[in-house]
Amino acid sequence: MAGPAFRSLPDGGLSVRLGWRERELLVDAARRLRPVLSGDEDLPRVRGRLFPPAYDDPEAEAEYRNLVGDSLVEERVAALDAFLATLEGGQTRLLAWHATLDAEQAAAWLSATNDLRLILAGRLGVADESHWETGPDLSDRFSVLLYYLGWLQERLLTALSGRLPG
Amino acid sequence: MTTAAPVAPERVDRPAGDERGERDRPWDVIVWNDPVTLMSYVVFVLRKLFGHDEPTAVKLMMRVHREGRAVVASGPREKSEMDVARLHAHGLQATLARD
Repeated sequence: MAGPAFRSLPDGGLSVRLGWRERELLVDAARRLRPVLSGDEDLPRVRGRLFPPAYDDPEAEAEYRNLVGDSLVEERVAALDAFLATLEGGQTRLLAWHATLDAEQAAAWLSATNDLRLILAGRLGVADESHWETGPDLSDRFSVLLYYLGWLQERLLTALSGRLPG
Repeated sequence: MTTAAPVAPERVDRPAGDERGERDRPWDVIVWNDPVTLMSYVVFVLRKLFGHDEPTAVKLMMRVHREGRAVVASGPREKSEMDVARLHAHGLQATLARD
């Protein structure tokens, strides 16, 4: 679709405009991949990247995991759910979907797009940066989605970066 | 790509003559490169969490990208552990360690 997908609003929120098919693609991806983030679907390699260790030392790592492990999962799942909830709201008109996000919902979009990319890349086995030299594999929906989410997150970051100090 | 200017202080150096014990040696917060996360996302998170200006955050990100890792903060264990948890909450690969 043409033009930026996001526009910064004075209250710290964002206005989002996407093609209705893009919205459907995002809803489908978030629903399908949510179990990987929540731990209901067991993909150890992907979860290892989503929730990486803090320490080399196994004892210190176990303590850290015990202390913050659950809340890290809960926060990220809550962000994905907030992302889904905003996608399920909004309005569709003339093939375009439009919604207004407050600052917290905008942060949830950033978190969700990042986690979806990490999950997709883990499933596709992206092991090094040379992966990006070839472009998406158009016969693989996960590959196309990974590239699309990169495009979307880049635009989201442009809209949100204007608000950071410095 | 290269960066000519020195990166902002990355660690808290102990003053000369400091005789604090083992417990007080600072813990480094290390961010690791990964092939998936967008460079602009890493810059955004470093700015948001550590209050860096954009050029400083870009330099740190480029160091992660080129060298595979960079120390982004340093301090007492509890603070560094909290920094790592906040980086983890944003989906970055981060660890803490001390020399």
